[in-house]
Amino acid sequence: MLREMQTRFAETLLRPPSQSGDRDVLADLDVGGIGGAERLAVYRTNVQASLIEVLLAAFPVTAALAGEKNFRFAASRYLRGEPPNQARLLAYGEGFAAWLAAFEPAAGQPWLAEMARLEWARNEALFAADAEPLDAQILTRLSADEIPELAFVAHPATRLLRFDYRLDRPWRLAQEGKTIPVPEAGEESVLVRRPGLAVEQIVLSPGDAAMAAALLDGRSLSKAAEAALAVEAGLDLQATLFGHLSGGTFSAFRRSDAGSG
Amino acid sequence: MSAGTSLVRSPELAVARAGVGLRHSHVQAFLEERPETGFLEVHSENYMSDGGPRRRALFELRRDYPVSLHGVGLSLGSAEGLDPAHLDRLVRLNADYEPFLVSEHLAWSVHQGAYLNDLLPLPYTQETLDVVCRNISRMQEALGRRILLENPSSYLTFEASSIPEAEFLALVAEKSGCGLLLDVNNVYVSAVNHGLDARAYIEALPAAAVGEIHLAGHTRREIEGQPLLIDDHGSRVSDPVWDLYRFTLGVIGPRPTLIEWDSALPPLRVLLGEAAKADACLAACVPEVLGAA
Repeated sequence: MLREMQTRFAETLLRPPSQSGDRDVLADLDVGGIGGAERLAVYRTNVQASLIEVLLAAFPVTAALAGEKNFRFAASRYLRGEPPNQARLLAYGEGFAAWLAAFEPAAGQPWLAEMARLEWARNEALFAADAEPLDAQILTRLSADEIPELAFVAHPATRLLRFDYRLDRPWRLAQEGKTIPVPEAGEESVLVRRPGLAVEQIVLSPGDAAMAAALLDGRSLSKAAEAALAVEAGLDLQATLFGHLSGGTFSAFRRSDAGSG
Repeated sequence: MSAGTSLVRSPELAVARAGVGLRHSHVQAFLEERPETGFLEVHSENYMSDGGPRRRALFELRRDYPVSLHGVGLSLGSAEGLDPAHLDRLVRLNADYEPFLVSEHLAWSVHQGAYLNDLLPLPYTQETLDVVCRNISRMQEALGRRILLENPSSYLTFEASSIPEAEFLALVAEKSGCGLLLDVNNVYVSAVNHGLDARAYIEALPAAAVGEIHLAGHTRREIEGQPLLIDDHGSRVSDPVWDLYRFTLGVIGPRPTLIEWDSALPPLRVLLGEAAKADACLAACVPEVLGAA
């Protein structure tokens, strides 16, 4: 009995406000026939409006780029199809970028889903496990022939993203409260990490991005260097690696298995 | 436990004091100024992450304030039972922060894996009583401690209900061994919305089971000429709710009392001012040393 009532109630709460279809739930109620639909609407509004606010808070720059009204419309559609699948709202929105990429009304603005992907990566980094960044000094204690075979373990907060739009500058302008330009087309690789308590975001050059991708994939330093030089012949490998070590991209190192790294 | 944190010598609440809900926009002020207040209460779900600054800040504050974990997502009224992953996360939080109270609601919010982010009403029947008691027993076993169950605010009631809400809460406390969190604003809101006697409701509860009191603001609407109070936690505690609070203290004695404020957050001093007002009511009561919660 209770289970069936909860099924009816849950379905009605996720319906669009204007749509009828509450009859089954209204029959469960004891409101003396007065205002049953309005009373039910209080719950429906609580559920839907609060989840829209959660998404607005998780994707503020995406919302500013889309226009808040448009974002609220998209969010209301998203939450009805994909309500939270966990009872902790800090995890709600994981699938939003992928959903937005397929949302027909936003088809002309593909950078919106890309910005949502960046904002979600930052959200994940914020709540990721705490870990001490790998100490760059570690390299000085290793012999010259050990270094090429080193592999690294990503810090739990580290995320590498590749976009088809240049999102970093619009994102930074949004933090300053400035008008956000439509992102320009063009490949951009962004590394998100959290060496301490604050999330950082840096744009990587093509070679740096190739090196970071290989290292985050667990490949050896020599293989990562090859990958980096293949796309950016002039890359300063030492400075690039040092940047990742001092910046907290990794939390540990290991010796890669000979030949397989 | 996170590295580098020690809860040794963490304060505990020895006498009934007023505390406030810790909300994100006030965290910095608490970290920097450590204003005096009886305890801090947080929504458990906001700290269910692997790591990050939010969890770290609460570890810092835990050294100076007793902490109460108040859950909004376990869905004790769900016929389908509890989500084991969510319960595991709560067990971890309980171990990490050693709260002096752990509480949840007489409500449901999860159905078939979807979390609806509201405290939804239940029909008060024998079946619901069995479901809620089973879920609370599971929660208490997992945590290894007694929890407090909060009375809900509601906007509608069910045809199938056969047990008055206060009596239902008393039965749950008796059968599951849980304590009660008496939200005085919720009693007032539901009493107005459903035409009940708020004082009779409070007198019908088992006083000894009440381990905490909540106070909050509400707003007023009308539906077809009848008042409908909305429990939005977005304003000061209203005068009739203060009156009902003083009545409650007279009936059950002093209890740790929380000022809840969740929307349209005021400056911290306004929130602390509301807590000071509750402290004054508590001080006017005969002090009573609290037993183990």
